[in-house]
Amino acid sequence: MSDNKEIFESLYHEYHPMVLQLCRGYMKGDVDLARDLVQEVFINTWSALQKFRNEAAYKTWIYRITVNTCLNYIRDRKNKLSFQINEDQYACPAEETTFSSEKHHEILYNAIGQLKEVDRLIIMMVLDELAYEEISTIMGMSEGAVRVRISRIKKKLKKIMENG
Amino acid sequence: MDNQIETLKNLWENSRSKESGDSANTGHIIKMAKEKMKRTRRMQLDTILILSITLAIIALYFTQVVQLNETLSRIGAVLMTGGLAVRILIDCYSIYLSSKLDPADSAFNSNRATLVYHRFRKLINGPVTVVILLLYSVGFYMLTPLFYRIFNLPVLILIDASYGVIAFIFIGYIRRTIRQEMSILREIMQIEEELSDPQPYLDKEID
Repeated sequence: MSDNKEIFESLYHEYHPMVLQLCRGYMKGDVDLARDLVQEVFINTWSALQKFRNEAAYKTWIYRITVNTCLNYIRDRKNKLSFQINEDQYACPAEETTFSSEKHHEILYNAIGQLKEVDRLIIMMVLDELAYEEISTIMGMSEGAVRVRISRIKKKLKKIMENG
Repeated sequence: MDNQIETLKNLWENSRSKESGDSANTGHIIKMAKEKMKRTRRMQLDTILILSITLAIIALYFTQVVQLNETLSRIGAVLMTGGLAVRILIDCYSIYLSSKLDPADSAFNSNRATLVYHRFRKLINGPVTVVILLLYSVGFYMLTPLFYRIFNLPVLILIDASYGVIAFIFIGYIRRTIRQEMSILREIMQIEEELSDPQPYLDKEID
């Protein structure tokens, strides 16, 4: 248990920024919801830690937990709290940032937020520069399917960004 | 197109928070994780416990308090206890299925396992529960001659009528649960569709 606690602490320390950014992208830039989701990801990480068998790198393993938690999160919240994310609203963070960086965040999360849930997760892995093979392992899709999917998502993003 | 992706990549890199996870939070998260596991386990076991106590009380009543001399009463008692026993076994299997859900599996496998679990829950919370309730009710009313020997007519009418009201309320609860399960299933199936290999004709979806 003590070993697990040490591993968990180091995972939390190392991957927290990565998970937070993924969750923020998934939640269309809403920092409060993203932090809530990050907490859920790490709760699941702790619960799954006992079953970790070194079959994948910790990073891939955390990615999988993050992706699965994201996909379950909105559904679970909808059922528990009648939670809804306004599809037209891409609320950007109330963080202490300069106007220009806030604007940049808005552009980024606005673009990602217009994609479907699964596409949103895939493109964030592309932006994180994960290899196709890693993305296919995380998503459980064939590498070919991932390539086709990414190409389509890029086309969609281009269209979204052109339309402002 | 690559320029736009590069722009997004730069924005992505710049938007990453520089703060690493505060180790002080881990104790709180571990505590929450343990509480969540305990709460989930208790919820699952509570149902089984309540059903088991009910089954034990009914079984004791039929074996120790009253004598089931008529075939009708015996069949009634078997239908009531049998239905409850089946439901307890199904709930145990449901716990086994939920223990197979692995949040660290690939998105497709994890979603598929969740789909299997919720399909099973829809089945047990819907048709299976309705059949069990029906058999339980038939069994209950088959015991009316037995109750008639024990209670006077006004009490018997009160018992039968109360049972009818409780069953009616329970049916409403079943309907609500099925609706919830259906809504969850629809969303899981939609994700499954999104996770499936893309088809060429779907290119039109971006227009």
